[in-house]
This record gives sequence, C-alpha cells and structure tokens, in this order.
Amino acid sequence: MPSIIDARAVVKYYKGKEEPALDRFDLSVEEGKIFTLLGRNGAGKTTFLRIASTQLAPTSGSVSVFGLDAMSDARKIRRRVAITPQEAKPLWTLNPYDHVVLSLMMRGQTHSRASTKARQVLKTIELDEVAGVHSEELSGGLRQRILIAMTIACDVDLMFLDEPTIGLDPVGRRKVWNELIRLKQEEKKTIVLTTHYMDEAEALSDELAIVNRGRVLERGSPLEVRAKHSGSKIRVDVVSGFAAEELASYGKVTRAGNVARVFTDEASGQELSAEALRRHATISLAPVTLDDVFVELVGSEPEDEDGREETSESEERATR
Amino acid sequence: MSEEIPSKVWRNLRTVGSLAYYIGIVPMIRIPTLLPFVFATPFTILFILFVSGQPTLFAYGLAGAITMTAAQQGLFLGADLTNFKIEHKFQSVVVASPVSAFTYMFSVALSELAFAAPPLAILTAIIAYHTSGAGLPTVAGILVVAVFMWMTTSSIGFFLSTYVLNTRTAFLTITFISILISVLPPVFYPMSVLPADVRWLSELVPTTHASILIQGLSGLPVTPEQTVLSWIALPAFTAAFLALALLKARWREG
Repeated sequence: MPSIIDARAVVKYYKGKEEPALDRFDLSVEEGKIFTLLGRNGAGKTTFLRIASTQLAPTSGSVSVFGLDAMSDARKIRRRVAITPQEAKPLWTLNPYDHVVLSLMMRGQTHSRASTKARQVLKTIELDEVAGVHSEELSGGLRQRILIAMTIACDVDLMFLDEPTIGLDPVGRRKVWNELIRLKQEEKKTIVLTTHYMDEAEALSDELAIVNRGRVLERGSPLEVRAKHSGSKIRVDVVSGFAAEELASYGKVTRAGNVARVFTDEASGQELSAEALRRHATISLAPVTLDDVFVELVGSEPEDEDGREETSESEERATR
Repeated sequence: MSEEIPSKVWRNLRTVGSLAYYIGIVPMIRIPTLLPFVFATPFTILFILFVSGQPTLFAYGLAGAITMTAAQQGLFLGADLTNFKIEHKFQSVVVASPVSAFTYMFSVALSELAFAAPPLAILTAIIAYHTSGAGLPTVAGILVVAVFMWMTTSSIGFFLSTYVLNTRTAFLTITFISILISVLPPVFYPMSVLPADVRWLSELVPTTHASILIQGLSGLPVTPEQTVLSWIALPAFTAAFLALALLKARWREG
C-alpha cells in the first residue's frame, strides 16, 4: 500500500518554548488504513495532525500528503481532507442537520445533495432523532457526534479525528467505531486519529504509533506492538494477601490504583497463583494489554505540564 | 475549462451563501432578541441627540448612527471569528477545507451585515423621510457608503481575529476600537466644531469620511472639496485594510 502521509524529520517549535513539540518526527501512514497516534498530553499528536492537515507550519522537515507538499500544495490537499479538531464545539443556534449541511455546502455541494447526505450520516451515527434540536440543548456526547458527522459526511479521502470519541458513552463510542471501520472497509477511506483510550486504539487501528516528547517511540499493529514489548509475559493483578516485597520476587511490580500489578512469565505467574490460592488471596491473570505497553513506554516520563501542543493558539506566528 | 469556471463560481457562491446563512441569518431568525444588541449603542446616542431638542444635531446623529452601525458590525466580525476559532475550533475545520481565507472572511462578514440590515434600513428610511427631495440616489448613496464602511472594518476585524488569543480580549478590543472610531471623530457631529489644527487627525479615520458623505447625502452642509476628498479616502481606506487583512492575517499558523 502506498503512503498517503509521509513525514520526514519534522521539527516544530512553538514561540517561547525551549522544547520542541515535534522532534525529528518521522511517520508514514498507508492509504486505506486506520492509523492511531497514542501519547500523553503534550506528546505531539495534535501538532502532527495540524501540520498534516495543513493548519500549522512545521519549523523544519517535510510532510507530504497524497504525495503533495503540505506547505506548498496545501490548497490541493485541502480538497481531499477533513478534520474533527480536539475539544471543538458546535455552533450555537444550529442543530445537527444544519451543521452537516453547512459542512457540505461550504465545500461547494448543492443544498439537495447536502441535505440527502446529512440525513443519511445523521441516521448512521444515530443523531437523526435530534437532527432539529439546537446544539446547545444537546448533551456533550451528542455534540461531539455532530462534529464527527461533519467530518465523515464530507466524503474525503483522508480524515483527521483528534480525540473524536472523548465524552461519548460506551454505546456511542461503538457506533462511531463501527462507522469508521465501515468507511475504511467499504469506502476505502484513510483515517488518522488520536486517542487516549487504549481499547479504542486496539479496536480500530490497523497501525498505531506511540508518541512521546515529539518522537515516535514505537509503531506497528496493536498486536505487533504488544507482542514486541510483552513477549511471553502475563499480568497478575493482586488485590490482597501479599506484601510488596514478596511480589517483587515474582516479577516487575507496578501500582494501578488499589491493585499491585505483577508482570512476569507464565511459570512465575502459575507459582504466584498457587500461592494466592493457598492464602485465599484475590488475584487475576491476564495477557499484557496495550495499556500496559503504553505505560511501560511512556509512563516514567513526567507529563508535560506546559502544554507543548494543544495550547498552540497562544503561540501562533504568521505564515500563509 | 469553459465549463469549469461557472462550476467553480457556483461552488464559491454556495460556500459564501451557506456560511452567511447559517452563521448570520439562522441565528437572527431563531433568536431575534439578539437584534437589540446591534441597535443599542448607535440608537442610544441618537436618542440623546433627539431629546436635546436640536434638529440639526439629530440630523448629524442619523449620519453617525448609520456609520457606527456599519462600522460596529464589521468589527464584530473580529469578535465572532475569534470566538469561532478559539471556542468552537470552527476555523480549524475551515482551514482544512477548500474554503479560502478571503471566502471565509467575506462570508462571515456578510453574516454580520445581515444583523446590521434592519437598523440600517430604519435609519436610512428616517433620513429619506427627513430629507426633502431625497430619492433613490440618496438612499443608494448612503448604502454604498455603509457597505464601504462595513468592508473596511470587516477587514480590520478579520486581521485582529487572526492575532487575538482569547475571546474576552477580542470583545474588549473590538468594543474599544468601535467607540474610538465612531464616537471620538466627527461621526455624530460636524467636523467644523473641531479646532482647525486637529481636523487633519480626524481625516485619518475612515468613519469620519463615511459620516461626512452621509451628512452630504442627507442635505447637511459639506463642502464639495471635502465630499470629493471623502469619496477618495473611504474607498482607499477600504482597499488598504482589505489588503492588510488578506496579506498579513494568519490563516495557517506558523
């Protein structure tokens, strides 16, 4: 599959910041895939999405989209992309139907085509029953779905979705997932999304990249990434019955809320289980998850409190 | 190629029409109580001039109210665009689409004009009623001046919106500029009341020229030289601020 996005050594500094938001960032995204960027707040995910969607200029490096340069050929790229920005809000006084029609008509579609498409998309993501309700009267999750509807209705080759399912309930999230998978499978769309939800990344992604401090730490399919970092390890969650020092003799121990999480091999896991049974302690065994891999890869890094990317509005500089 | 051009024109018209309709007309229809906010300041000043009991001052006030309404609505474009950019992230959606910076600016500016249309119509009707012999040319002239004024301040508003970093600052800045250019210069009063050595300063403000032209069209005394100067100056201001907005405003962020 050819690459639809190709980023080479992209560096992005925001004004007044000493640390780069992107630091020699390399990434390629294959056509017709769902690609997910995972990372902590300030890791560089949104910055990359904004550069690739021609909203933001990189400090150095190159990004091509559809083989076109994101800086010099932005106009051609913009005809074929659409974005759901992070933490966006619908426009007040407009209802979901208005939003989708506006999204299509501002791209030049006729009202009749826009109207037909809007009704179809609103039905798909179950907004049809509130199609005529003012957006300010809707719940946060329904408002978020309006923004997703505006993007997926556009029928573009490449969609950028920045934390699209934030605020959605589990049922709503799955509706969106199903639609994104349908768009990929039936309409051969390419979707690049960011998320903090590991289950979402596992459920949707053909490929994902774990990003930290402006660099790609790991990439591959969810299965590949998990296998690479967990090997034959298993995870034992210990609720009670063991002292921390004891657990350390079985493997690497981390805390996850009230649970002590032991990463170990199968033999040690069985040994620990037998001991837990003998002591009537509460434990559970499970394969290592993407969540565990993510925490292992980036968990030791302090979270970037100064907000190197999402606060970019305050650090704009002029270019066209 | 010959088929592409009309198709491109229609596409752009749909873009402009849809943005202006959904951002301007729809809110006005669904929440008509928004309209008094547009009327408030110019009509308050006009009311004060009316109760002063001096018909001449009231006539100047009408010219000033039209100028202020058009200028204010253009500037409000800046506040609305800042709101769309920062709060709604709507500008991100637009930038990552085929819509150009100019088309977006023009469309949202048109939506602001929709809000200004009712007060402008009322004020123009009052002038036409008060001015003996005022006909279609007078009304058309006033509307042309109002459109120039709106284009000038829309450009200023758009330019500011691409730099202002939060909604609160945007509203405060724009309110301040609106008062600065609509109340201080000779917009609601004749230039002749200004000391001779500061008149040149008021000539540097586009609202002065808009008001002078409307004063002339309303039958108030304006010298032919001043009229010619203002007919040159107002479009020149419009062109200059439009160029500033399109060349220096930030569409894609750096």
